[in-house]
Amino acid sequence: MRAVLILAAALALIAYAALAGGREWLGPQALFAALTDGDFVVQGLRLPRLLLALGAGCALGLAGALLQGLTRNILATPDILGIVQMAGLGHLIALAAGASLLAGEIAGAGLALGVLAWLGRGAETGTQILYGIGLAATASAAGTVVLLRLPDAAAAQAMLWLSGSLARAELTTALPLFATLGLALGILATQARALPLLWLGDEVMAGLGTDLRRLRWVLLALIAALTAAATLAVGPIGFLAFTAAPLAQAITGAPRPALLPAMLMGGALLALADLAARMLAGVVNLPTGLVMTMIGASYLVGHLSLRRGGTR
Amino acid sequence: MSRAFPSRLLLLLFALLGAAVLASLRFGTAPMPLQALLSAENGILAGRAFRTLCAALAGAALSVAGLWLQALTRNPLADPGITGINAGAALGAIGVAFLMPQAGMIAILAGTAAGASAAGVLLWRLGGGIDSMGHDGIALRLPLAGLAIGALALSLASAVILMDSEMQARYLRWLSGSVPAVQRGEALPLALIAVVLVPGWALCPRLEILGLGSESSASLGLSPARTILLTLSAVTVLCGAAVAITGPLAFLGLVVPFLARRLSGGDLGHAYLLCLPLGAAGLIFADLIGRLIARPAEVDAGIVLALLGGPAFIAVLRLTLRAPQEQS
Repeated sequence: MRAVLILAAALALIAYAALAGGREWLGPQALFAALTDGDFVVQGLRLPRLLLALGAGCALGLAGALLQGLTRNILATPDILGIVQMAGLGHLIALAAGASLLAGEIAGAGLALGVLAWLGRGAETGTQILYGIGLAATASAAGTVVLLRLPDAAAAQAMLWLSGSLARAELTTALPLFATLGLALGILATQARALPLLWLGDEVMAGLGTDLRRLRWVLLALIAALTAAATLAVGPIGFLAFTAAPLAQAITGAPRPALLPAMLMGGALLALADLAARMLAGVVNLPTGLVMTMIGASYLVGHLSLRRGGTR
Repeated sequence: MSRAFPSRLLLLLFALLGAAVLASLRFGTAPMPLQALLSAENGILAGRAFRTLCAALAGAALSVAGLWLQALTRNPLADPGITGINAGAALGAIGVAFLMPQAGMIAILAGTAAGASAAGVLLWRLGGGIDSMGHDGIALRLPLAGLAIGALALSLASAVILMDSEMQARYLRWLSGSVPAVQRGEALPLALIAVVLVPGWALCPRLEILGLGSESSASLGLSPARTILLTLSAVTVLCGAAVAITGPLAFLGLVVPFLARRLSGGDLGHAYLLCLPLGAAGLIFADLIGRLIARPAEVDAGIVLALLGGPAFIAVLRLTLRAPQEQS
């Protein structure tokens, strides 16, 4: 509980900075006035960016923590295993074919989980992660090829989306994003007894009366849906789902699987990365996804250098 | 150790390389009848020839670098791209080009070599140092460490490129790995690759003896430390020069050495000779595919390699994991 409170406070602080920060910082009163008057910069530009970053960050953080718990491996997250990249590929193919983007995303994420499960039958988790790395490389490359075949107008917008930029954030994708997030939280609430046991192992869970088969299917469906909704909103952002849960644990000391702390941490991280991207805009225009990759890849370097023993 | 020299196989692979070169000269983004292509004025043929030469030498260099890295680490997944060494080299080049806009190719090459070495040192530390290098089989940490180093180096390089519009025009496509279509001082790295590849063959027996263990190597009068140093320097120069030409390419140095080692039956020197035509033909074909699949646009060779490389990476992993069980 303490962890959730700490992170919620941090999140509120970041949200304030994201709304008030800019060329001139707004005080609390000025910000409140801007929000109620319908000031274009605050309401039309900053608020949509913040909402999308928060929603997508929360969704990816939650999906990452769920998959880490399900596989009991900290490296098994949607971004490292290529599920995010496959969702992005589904998005681009749907765009080229004129189909529903969300359906394309979900199909891509679901296909990625299916391929990984098929390839990884009986393999060790370390090997499964390498399969995921291969899948991620192919999916991103295929996405670029599809992008080149799109008509120019669609391609320019899709390229911005693919780079993980929130510069043209629109609230149209926020509805499926927050609906999925709410639905996921509701479903997870019904599994509240089994979820804290995720990292303890199958025997413990089965011994305590968990229907493992059903739980796995439910969680995998949620992971696919959350990843798809987040990627639809902000593009295929790497290293966020991987970083959120371990960082939340390190900061707050929350015990695994730390689902809610990971979710809040994900939201805070992406909002922070977007704030950094906006603050740097005077010097260099960096897409939010690129800032996130720098943060997350540095974290992975640190993680590997601290844990030089095994492969986990 | 010394098996029958695979002269027929080598001949076959050089024939494949010849076919690749001809196809690369004949076909391109712009469809063109043979007559128009052969008339000397339009210069298209010369452009394609330059491009093919770049692809051939960079492909051979990256394949040989992969072969040596795999022999040294005894890890079949050690490819200059997957380990992040190429990404480090790219970051080095971008850093030099950003700080010294007038820098010539020598400075860029120094940048790629410095970046590749830095990535190599970091890889050695993160990959678990000597411990995970000594065992046979796959050290899973190596590709993971490479993923982290590669993502970090490439995102930093992108950030630097995005700071400057001239850098964007010159390096944005290069960073995703593309064979150059116009000449910009590539003669020096091309010559460097050729110079390293000729005596490079002599390194293979030394590496093979090192593979038997440090003690046997020392007892034969070959200092293991010297072999490692020689190999790493050669890999750094090859990767640095190749990246200076084509940008950071991945997966070629994984697939080509894997095939070459299977075809050669385990002799490193023979595998080296097979790597040269196979690697050259591999990159020429990847570049050619990229020119043809998205006409009138072009898909960069780095994208084509990643597209085909992901499944190849998975296949190599599965075959390598299965191999010990078959033998027992």
